[in-house]
Amino acid sequence: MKHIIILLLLFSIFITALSAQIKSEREYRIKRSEAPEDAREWLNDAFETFKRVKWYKEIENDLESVEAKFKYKGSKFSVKFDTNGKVVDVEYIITSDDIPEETRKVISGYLESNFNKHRILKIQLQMLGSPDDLEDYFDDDEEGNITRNYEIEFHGITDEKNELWEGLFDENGNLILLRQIEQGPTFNLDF
Amino acid sequence: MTKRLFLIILLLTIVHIITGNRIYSLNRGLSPEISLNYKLNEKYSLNGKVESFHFYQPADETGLWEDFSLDGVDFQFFVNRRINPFQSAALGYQYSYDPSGVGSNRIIQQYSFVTRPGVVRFGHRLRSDQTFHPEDPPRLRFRYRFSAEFPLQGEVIDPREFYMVASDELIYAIQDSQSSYENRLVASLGYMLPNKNHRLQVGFDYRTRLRDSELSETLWFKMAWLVRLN
Repeated sequence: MKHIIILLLLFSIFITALSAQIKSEREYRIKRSEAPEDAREWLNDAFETFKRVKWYKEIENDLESVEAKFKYKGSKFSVKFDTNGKVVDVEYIITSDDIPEETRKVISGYLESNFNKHRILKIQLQMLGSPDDLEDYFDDDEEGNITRNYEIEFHGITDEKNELWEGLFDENGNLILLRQIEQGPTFNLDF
Repeated sequence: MTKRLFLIILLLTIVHIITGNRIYSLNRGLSPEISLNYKLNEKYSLNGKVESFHFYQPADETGLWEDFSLDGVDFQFFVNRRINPFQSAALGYQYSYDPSGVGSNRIIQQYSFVTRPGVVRFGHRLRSDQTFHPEDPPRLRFRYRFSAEFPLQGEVIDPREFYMVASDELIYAIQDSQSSYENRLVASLGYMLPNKNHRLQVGFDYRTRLRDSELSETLWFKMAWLVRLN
């Protein structure tokens, strides 16, 4: 009898949980064949020597995009495409030494004046441009009309906040966008 | 395909262990759990958990329900303080209901930190607790748990997606100057419901305990429902 009561209790709360739906925002693995053909072709033309590519679909604020993630020349790359397969941007992980010194100084200045303490966790170089210019850059090392931004993930402490942040800086080191990174609950790892 | 195969094997194992023939002598049973989390502000949160343990002792000529006997129910309550995005400290209290005797009280102290170098989230937990039972001397325990959580679809856990959580915990206990050692190996398959504040986890909690040079083993089939209230 005790077991039945416990089960019924569990079941009733479970139904309550199912009935509340919220907006879906997600990313998931897709097969290579599910990626737009233009995207696959562009990737083959731009990066000829890489090995394994993982494809993902991302849905954010009802906007869909496709991402390809792979390793190339020892660095982690992530290439974003729209659903038609047109490249949106190319991002890859770099170290702070890869940022030009002048730019680095401006970024450090921003972080030092806006945060009591900060620690950089990850830096990604974001490259924007037309599909042809981006392809020529990676394929032939040709510098076309390409915009470079730096996406920096850091732990920053202010008087009120102690959080993880993501700052997007332009090639001169000026801040374009700052957002707090939502980490998701950790209580299933804590308790 | 690999994932589907993995799920089928997991399910078959569950069915086999819960209802199948006894191959080896091992205490086993069911343990449902509800965990509720409530965020008070940026720094503090509350966590409440109810967990019951039902031993499975199959007897001939009885129904399935009679094969399960209630071993105990734990009621846990924690106040958690976030130190920074990675670390937190918590103080807790547990009341354990014992259907065959007198319940016990426990106070718990813990420090935990989480890292996420890539797709996998790693959790470390250091815990100490003191249990007070009216008929026994106090029992002190020191524990360390390492856990890993990773999505099975994509790089983060999203609504309607499966994930895995695995952990191993080492426990040293001392009671009346007698030591005992325990290891808890847990592996669970989780699912995030369409409402991302709700997660379901099913898995195994395999406990080995060494006490008075006697080794005992218990396998719990765990069903957990984790709820974030806000």
